[in-house]
Amino acid sequence: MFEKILVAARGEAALRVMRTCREMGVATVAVYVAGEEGASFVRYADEAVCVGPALPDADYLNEANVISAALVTGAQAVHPGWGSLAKSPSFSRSCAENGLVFVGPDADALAFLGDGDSLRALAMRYGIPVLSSGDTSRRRRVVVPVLVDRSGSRLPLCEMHASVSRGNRVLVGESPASFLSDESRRSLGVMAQKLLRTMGYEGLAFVSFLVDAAGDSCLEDVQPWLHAAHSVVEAASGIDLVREQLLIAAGEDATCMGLVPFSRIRFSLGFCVCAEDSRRGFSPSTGTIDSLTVPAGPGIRWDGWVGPGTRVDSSTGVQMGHLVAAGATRREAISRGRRGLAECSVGGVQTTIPFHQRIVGNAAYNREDVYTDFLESEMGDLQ
Amino acid sequence: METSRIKEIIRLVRECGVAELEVKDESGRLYIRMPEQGCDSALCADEDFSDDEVCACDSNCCDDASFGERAEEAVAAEIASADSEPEEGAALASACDEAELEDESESSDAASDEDELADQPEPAEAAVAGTGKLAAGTPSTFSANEEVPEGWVPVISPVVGTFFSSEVAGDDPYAQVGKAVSQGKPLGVVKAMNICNRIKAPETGVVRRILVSDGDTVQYGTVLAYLEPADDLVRATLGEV
Repeated sequence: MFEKILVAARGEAALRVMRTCREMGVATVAVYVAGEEGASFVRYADEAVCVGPALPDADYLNEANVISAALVTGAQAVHPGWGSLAKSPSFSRSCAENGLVFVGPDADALAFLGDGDSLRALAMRYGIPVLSSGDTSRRRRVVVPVLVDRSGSRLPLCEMHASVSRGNRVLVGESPASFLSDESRRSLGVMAQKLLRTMGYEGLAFVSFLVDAAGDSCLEDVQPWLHAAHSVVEAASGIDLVREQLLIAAGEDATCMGLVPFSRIRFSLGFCVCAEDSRRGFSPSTGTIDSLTVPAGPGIRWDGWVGPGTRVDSSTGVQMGHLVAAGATRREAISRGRRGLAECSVGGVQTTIPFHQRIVGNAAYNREDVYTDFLESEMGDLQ
Repeated sequence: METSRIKEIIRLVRECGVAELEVKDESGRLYIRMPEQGCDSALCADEDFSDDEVCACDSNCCDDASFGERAEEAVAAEIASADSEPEEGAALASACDEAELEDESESSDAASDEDELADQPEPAEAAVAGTGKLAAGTPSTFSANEEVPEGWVPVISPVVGTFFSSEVAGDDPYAQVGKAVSQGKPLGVVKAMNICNRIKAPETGVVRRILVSDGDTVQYGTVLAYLEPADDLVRATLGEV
């Protein structure tokens, strides 16, 4: 295993990766921009390097300075979290050229998967259905995480239903997608593995499908990085996905290569809590957090990085954390999620918590009658 | 350079208390180093030190001080060697990057990267912002606790990497305390991923403090040195007025 890694991410993603590193005895290096030195993820790291000026672009991390920070601190690997650097083929290439292990795919795979046309062409060649233009049937978005280690073992993990999304952000996700029949679930796992096998892919990837009411599915895209909503899958399956990523990147065997028995799968529900005013078109609510009470208790996980005094604006990003509730059944997870949301209190900025509370109180949501048009069809007054 | 001009410059240097000065013009380069503090020679301290007298103190403080006859010889030697001083950009590859030299197809990329990095906007507010932790054993590169006279200008690293005081190992450092530099002239380099990023003087001034030494790890916003902005006298001696 690596002795030291640099975490090329900020906020929640950085903290998430460092937590697993600490459990595994791997030293961490944080990178940050001017003005962030007091942030939780900077203080959590064993070392921290300032790599750039404060800029309004939330995803900005200077690639050359990040690589240089890894070199001068003696890090052996770079984990890019799920921000812009996780999606950058040039960054992956630059890591490799400088002798650093990039925890993610190589530059070619990253570029290939980032290009929708080439991915669709590959899928069609191998008989994996893709969405045909003009098809307007209502669908649900199901994301299948797959781990591939050096030996080629492929494991489709417990799938996630990305119930409510805005753009690329999954506002509410749940796992498993209990509306799927066993046959559909198996078929999605087979397609996801097949796609990655044709590419010779190694590591963790989230393969996203659109599934219609009849259970027919087509490929949407592949996210070859730690999904921002991965904690939903972790809560359901009991697997630490960051740990598996690091093991595979270090050339070791993943520890969870064997399907989690369905009897051990729990039902989990995740909310992406952001400093946004959902009543004003999800416009960012900037300000300084003056008080924060985080949810706790049975079945609750809070992956947050903000605290009293944290400044939230477009440069720090508006994502404050994920609240995940798990239970033996969907109903239990929902009631725990409702309790967790009620316990969570943030002063100083507007948050999406009231919006999440409306979703868990929504009748269609509770019936699992949730499609990708949920925001428009059920929460139209927010648009 | 004419002797009368040299004498005039030396007089200006003594009047304004600059410890070292380098002047360059079409006729060559003049380098003056004034006696170090601590020399208690009567001659050094004597306001009426005549041009023909040479300080004889044991500290060698005046060997390069360039007064009188010896001064002119020393200056002549300096002028003679002026052409060998590396021009801006010329020696970039020599010290820094063997890989660049071996692979010409990459060297142009590396050079353009260097330009890109060097052209990053000056991190004006970063001097106070950087208080991050660095690897154990690296020096504290921040001077937050240090009193800095008002008006001194911080020289700030725009990149993460390893600091070197000159591009060629063994060369005199670009920056020396007490030495005047013109805006845009190099004060050191920060080597990152085998590319040397030249750190340029943000304005014309006299180097007052150097906070890093060869091999130190620096990050974005690290204060490398402080300059005291030049007054008219220093500008005059640098040939800027």
